[in-house]
Amino acid sequence: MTLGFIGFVAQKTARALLTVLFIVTLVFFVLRLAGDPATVLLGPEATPDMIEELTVRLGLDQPLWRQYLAYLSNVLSGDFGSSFLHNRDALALVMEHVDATLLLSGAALAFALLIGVPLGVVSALHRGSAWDRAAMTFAVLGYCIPNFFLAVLLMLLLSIHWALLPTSGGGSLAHLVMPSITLGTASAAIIARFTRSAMLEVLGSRYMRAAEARDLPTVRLMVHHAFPNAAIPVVTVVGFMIGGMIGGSIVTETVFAWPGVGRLFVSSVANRDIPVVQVIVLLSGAAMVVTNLVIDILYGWLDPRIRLRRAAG
Amino acid sequence: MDPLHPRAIALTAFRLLESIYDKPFAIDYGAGGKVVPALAESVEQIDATTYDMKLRQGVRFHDGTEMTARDVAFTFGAERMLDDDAPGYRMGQRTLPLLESVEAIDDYTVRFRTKAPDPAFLKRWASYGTGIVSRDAYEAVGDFEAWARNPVATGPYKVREVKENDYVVLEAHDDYWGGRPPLKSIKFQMVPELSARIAGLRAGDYDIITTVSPDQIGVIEDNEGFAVVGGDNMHFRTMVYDVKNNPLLADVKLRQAMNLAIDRELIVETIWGGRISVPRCHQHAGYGPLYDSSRPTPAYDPDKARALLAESSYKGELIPFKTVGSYYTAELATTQVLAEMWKTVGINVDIQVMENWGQVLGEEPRGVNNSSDGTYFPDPLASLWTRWGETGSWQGRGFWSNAEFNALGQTLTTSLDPQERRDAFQKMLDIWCWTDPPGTVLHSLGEFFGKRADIDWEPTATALLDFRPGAISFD
Repeated sequence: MTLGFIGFVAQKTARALLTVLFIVTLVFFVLRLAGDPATVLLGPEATPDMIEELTVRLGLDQPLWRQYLAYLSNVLSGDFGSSFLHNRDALALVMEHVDATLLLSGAALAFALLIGVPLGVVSALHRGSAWDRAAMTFAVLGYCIPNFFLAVLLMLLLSIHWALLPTSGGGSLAHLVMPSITLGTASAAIIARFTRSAMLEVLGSRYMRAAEARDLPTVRLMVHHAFPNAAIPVVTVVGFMIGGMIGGSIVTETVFAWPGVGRLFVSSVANRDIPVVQVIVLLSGAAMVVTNLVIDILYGWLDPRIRLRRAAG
Repeated sequence: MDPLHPRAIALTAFRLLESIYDKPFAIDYGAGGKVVPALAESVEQIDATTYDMKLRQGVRFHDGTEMTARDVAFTFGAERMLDDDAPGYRMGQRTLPLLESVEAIDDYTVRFRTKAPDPAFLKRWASYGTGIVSRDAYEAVGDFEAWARNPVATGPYKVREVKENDYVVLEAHDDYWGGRPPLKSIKFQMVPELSARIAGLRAGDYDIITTVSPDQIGVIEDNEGFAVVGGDNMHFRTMVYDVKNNPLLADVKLRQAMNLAIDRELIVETIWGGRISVPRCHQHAGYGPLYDSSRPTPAYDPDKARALLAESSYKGELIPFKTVGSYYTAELATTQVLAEMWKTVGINVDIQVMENWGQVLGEEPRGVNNSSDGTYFPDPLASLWTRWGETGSWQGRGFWSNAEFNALGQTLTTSLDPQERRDAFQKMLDIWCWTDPPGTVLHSLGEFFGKRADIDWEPTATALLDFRPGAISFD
């Protein structure tokens, strides 16, 4: 850990914080200007004095700039406000749902890696074969098929036809299977394609040919020479996937009634539950930033050239 | 999960709370909307504005304690509802706007005083928002929000587990005064997507699913072992015109023409498969003596509509028609059908799909919007007056006003003479439906539920889910 590396991390973090501040500000004003939260929360059956009462109670009668400044200063002191809809601490509410989303994202990512990487490797090693064509057909299909359609298809097959899994809800591992496949399929397809092209590039490189010329066993050849070099683009893509999964799981969570952040996010935006939306935006921003940092550090570990270049300043 | 919480107005809360709470009285819709005793046994009117309510004895709360007059007085009293800074004040005003004071006379008698004579006094105690809570349990929690997450009441089921945005589990209240509840426990699972609900029903994950759109009824019924129940209920699906702020809609002839151009039967037939009906203006048979069964359903007469348009100041200008598109069943389809029906006679609307109700109701220019009028006890005071009356939703928001309508409304609100009330109500309908229409009724608000065919169960006339003894059984 040199000074250069610390500076690199500090610069990345500062830039990320600015980005998050920008997003939070934008979300605050756009949500406020697109529909009065009190009217949205109470719905069309509410009388005007019910709306007025809620407006005052939520502090929405204050000028917008004052609401914004109050919000920022509260956030800086660790107070993310109360959910308009649920009347309780917004951060606590979101955190209750984070577990479910992390579990789903983790399972989906594991599924994507377990399917995607072997498919990509097999296609690259047997380029042009029936294996390769089958794998890439899967990749194209997996990427193109809409989440929603895949979800309903899985329900029809696995729940109704074969009665293997529950259709929706949370609470058990069985509930996790279909949402993970739904959320992970597109990622598996992307990983398969990236792995294939990265492997093809590496397999065609001179150092691989040199290694082959030394008559090394295939397993050693792959594990020590091909995989680490092919991993860099794949890790980059996976990093983006992790960061995007909180937002990306919205459709999946809604269809399967999975009690995660994605569903909370949709209902909070629709209900103009601004404190909750802001917490989720902040969390996704933070997730993106942390993932990017981790990826940068991983690069160094995977590729000594990057580490050395950084150390050199 | 407190019936006076501002969020208890949501459909999901309506459905859930019916199992947790009991009210002083109930309505027997099978018997033409008759008021029948529940937690109360009788009401004695002392004078024009004073009533003594006799309570049923031996009713147990979910925590095993006995319900007494002290609890009833607290439920509607200053701390929870009556004071204007009490947490349940606004919701309480919807159902009990005339209530002035409440006190316990002895263990089983509660005295109510109203600000004025109240012709619907009895019916109100069977309405939404009048569920009785345990005073001791409420005070032990202290905070309204925390209480609402785990309330103690007298209904057939008590709260066992709550996960916000996910599910609520209720379990049988074995000491229920009305007999042992038929279900050991009920899980209300939130499944926002209809296709997932249907798949869940077919896969056996759920026994009953809510809000089935009419186009999916066949999908469920085509499968052996499943059925769809529901249909007409007491709520009205309406249209609203912004008469005061939109200069085009200020012309009554245009509004009359719009109402005449709507073929309601065709909408019911095509979109709803003929499973619901068109009410005779803004009234329901359950209103008893107030109901006029000879009043015709709103007329469909495009020729007359064209003739009225020709006499009006309207020259084909675009009228904004804002909609969220998905709040009501088949809302967007209905909106498009209406636009076409209006176009046929020469009225042009500009459909604008908005994201939320704040944008539909709050942002100028307004013109036409979709709506519905809930009816939570069988009296126009629970629907026409709360929605269209002087302090109701639409006059309150500045969409419309009519002095004669409001004056008649005073009679409807305060007169104890049934004939006088009937006359006033029917004159109000003449204004609302024809002489100065601020909107119109399209049809009743249909609500369909999918269920296992071997479960014998139907929703109530107000589309609530009743799982009390006798309401549900298994073949």
